Amino acid sequence: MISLALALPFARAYARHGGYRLDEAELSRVLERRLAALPPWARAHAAAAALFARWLAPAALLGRARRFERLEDPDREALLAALQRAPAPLRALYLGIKAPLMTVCAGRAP
Amino acid sequence: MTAYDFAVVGSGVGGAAAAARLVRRGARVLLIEEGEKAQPPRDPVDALARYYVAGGATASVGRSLVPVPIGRALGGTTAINSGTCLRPPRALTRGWRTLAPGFDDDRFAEYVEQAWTELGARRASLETASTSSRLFLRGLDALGIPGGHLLDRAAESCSGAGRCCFVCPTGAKRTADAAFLEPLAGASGLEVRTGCRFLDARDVHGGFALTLERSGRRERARAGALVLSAGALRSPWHARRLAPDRAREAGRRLSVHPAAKVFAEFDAPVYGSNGVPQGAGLVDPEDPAIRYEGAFTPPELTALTMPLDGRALAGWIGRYDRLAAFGYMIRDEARGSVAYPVGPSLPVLSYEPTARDLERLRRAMLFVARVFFAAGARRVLLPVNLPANVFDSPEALERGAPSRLDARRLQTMGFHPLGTCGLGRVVDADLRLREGVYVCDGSVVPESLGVNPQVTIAAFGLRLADRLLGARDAR
Repeated sequence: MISLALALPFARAYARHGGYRLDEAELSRVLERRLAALPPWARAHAAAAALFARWLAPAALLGRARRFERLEDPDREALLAALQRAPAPLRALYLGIKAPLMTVCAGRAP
Repeated sequence: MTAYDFAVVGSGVGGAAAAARLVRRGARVLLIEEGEKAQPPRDPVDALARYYVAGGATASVGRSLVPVPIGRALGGTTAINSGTCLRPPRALTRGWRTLAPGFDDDRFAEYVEQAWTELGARRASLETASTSSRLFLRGLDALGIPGGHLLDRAAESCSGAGRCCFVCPTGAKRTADAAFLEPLAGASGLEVRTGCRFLDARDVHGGFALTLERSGRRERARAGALVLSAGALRSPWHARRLAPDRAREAGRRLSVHPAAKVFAEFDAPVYGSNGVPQGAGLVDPEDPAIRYEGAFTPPELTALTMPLDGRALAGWIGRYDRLAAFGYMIRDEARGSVAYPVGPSLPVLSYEPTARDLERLRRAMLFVARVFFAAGARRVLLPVNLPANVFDSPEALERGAPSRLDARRLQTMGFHPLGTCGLGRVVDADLRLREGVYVCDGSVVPESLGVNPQVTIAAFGLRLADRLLGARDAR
């Protein structure tokens, strides 16, 4: 599934950063199930959101030419805060990956 | 091809109430519902996927991001609402006489009482109220603020499972189908087609030829008259196609009751998701346009409604068992619109709160925060996307809370889309769009109500049925 392939690196880095209690196998399994349950347009949204969050957002919002998972810790937290405070269209875009991700992470918080 | 006296598109509370009364008084009714009968889901996320339009992703995206979740199931949005019952303010309905000549608000008030009875509205019990709600009431007491009360709900045998918005697991919530359709199970005059989409209606002699779609196959039916009850975000689409002369007006004047909630962390466990999330309420002591109502969501969705991300979010979610939340909504001045650039399945909403709406939202936010501190909260999280949105004392709140709200910083939602086929503007006093076509859902409520609208909409449904039968009998 394309959306899973695009989302998983971001999801791993996000979960590790937040200290969520799940291993990579569980993360992958549950995220795949969540994405598979979405209609095609929502999977496309998730894929686009993952691309945005991983590649474009660090440059656009932080001025860092690095993928999300390669950011330094403080920059990663700063980027996530910036995404939360971004203009509504970017927040709406980002929700495409944050929503399925939180269904996996919430309940497994540190 | 089967012929019916009436076809009702949509089984939300307006359509279900109208259909049931029509059947009880001898009419043959086809009720068309795109969704299915809601069953208790595997989890809340499953409920979103199966019973919310677009998985809950319907939203206005402009300066603000305002999600407007609507239901897609037998019973419409009542399958996923909180079940709260409130009567429309008489001061508002009295004004509808001016909007729609022929509208009798005294007579409408009688229909409101009928709807109240048929929905089975009852006062929630303190035993089933969530700890969140009890903490809010305790905070009000501590501040000496009167008026906090338990809400009336369409959920007589509620045991406080706390899953109202994700399909009641016990069947206690009286959704539109439970209240109006289930009592008619087996009635010969009612046919309910679920999983069935209304595509079009063509004028024919004696009524309409309907084109429907179910399981990928086209179906046809004939009806003497048509009632559109597809909701404020979908009925305008049909209204424009069926009455092109009203096309310019249908879809405008959207109000949504912008709402948000304040989270608070307590030292002792709260288990906020246990008990009725929306069991208690209060009208703002200084501004009746602000209404406080309980709100709580499961952790997956709480995480999405918090204005936080990263470790900041994980820190709050990690203490989920110690969190309380209480919400508020306002009677909005803003009016938006709904458009359909790619068809009815993905309506595009345009909605921006006004400056006064923003000030009301700000006042309400601070009020709830103060109440939670008075109840013993150790810190509160305000629904604003700002670096400083967490406060650990009332003094810090007074020093640091925003003095004005920027729409771009709002963390808000709108649960009650209304007005897009408003009474007196798109439909007349009898909810008639044009000859043989009527509208009966939240779209006909002509202005922001300031109260949860299901009783009002059900009243419109009962009234419409009587009007339709009276007109038929008179012919």
